[in-house]
Amino acid sequence: MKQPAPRRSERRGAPKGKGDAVKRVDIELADGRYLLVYSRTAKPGA
Amino acid sequence: MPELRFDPLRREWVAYATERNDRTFLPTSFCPLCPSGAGGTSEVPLDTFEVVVFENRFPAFGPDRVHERPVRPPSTGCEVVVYTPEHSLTLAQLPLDRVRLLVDVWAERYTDLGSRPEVRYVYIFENKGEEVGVTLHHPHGQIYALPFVPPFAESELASAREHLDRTGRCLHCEQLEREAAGPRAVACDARTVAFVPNAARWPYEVHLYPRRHVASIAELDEAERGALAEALLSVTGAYDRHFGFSTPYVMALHQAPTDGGEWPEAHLHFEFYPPHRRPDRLKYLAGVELGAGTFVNDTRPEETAAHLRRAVDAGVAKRPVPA
Repeated sequence: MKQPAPRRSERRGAPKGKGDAVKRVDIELADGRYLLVYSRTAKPGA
Repeated sequence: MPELRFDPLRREWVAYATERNDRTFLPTSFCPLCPSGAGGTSEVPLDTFEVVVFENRFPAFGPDRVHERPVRPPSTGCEVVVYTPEHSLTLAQLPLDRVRLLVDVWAERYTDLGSRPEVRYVYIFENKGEEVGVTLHHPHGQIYALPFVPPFAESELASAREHLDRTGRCLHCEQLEREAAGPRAVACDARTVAFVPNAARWPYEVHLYPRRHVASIAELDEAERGALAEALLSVTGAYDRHFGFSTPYVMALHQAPTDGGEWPEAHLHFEFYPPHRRPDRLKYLAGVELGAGTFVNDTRPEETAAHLRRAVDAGVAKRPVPA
């Protein structure tokens, strides 16, 4: 059974200091549970 | 619906989660943790990802559900952390930057889940291998956001608080300083120390600490997070090299409760419990461990630490020399 298109929202957070930032995208799954997608993106000036 | 009952004799909580009895068990033709693409049927309907976290479909603890949907905002809960889209890898085989991201994810989840009013302890752990009860082989860990401080953490904290009150020093700091220079050291660098504890319950039990006194993973700075990622690869890789196969273990993070209190005695550390006592033998919890609460260990920590030290050194020797 296919799931309906999930809803997404995005936010960025990162530990203090230089280096890469951690990006988090929040998705709501079809049954109401959340799915958090983490990735690393280059921080400006890092 | 998960339920907690309190045992007044042992003064501990027991969780009842009957839906878990029907959870997915070692599937062979379909992995619920692999990315299945947009509209896919796995738990991760994405084309790919680096690290994902989702609410466990079969939670051992809350959140409550109404009409089959989780109540919002969530209170306590259980999350699954998927380390990689690659089904056949293990934590020990991940690239360093992925483990480094994982450290950040753990730190973020500790802070996020710990900020929920009902969550008193964020318990992060990994079960690896069928020998410790894994039902899905895809590399992943779990997080339980608990409404109470679990008994092992409570016991450690009580001992550390008593020591701090009596001596003004952190019991963990004293221990890791002693172990870093002793015969039970496994892998040490400027920021981390891994050792087989003096009173190890499991033959190849390892405790891994940041040297700096931090109460939680969220307090680690950038350099310490990098060092921790390297140390995690060092310890898990040493297990695999020593035993000659992808070694099962339980990995548990112990850190400060999130009940809003002050916990100066807490010192973040990881504990690894591999069930093997030699490549062809498992250590089982039996009568004396389960019925009396006393572990009998068939090995000496000094000997198993030497085995793991050699395996760590062999891993270091294999690393490419930087240009």
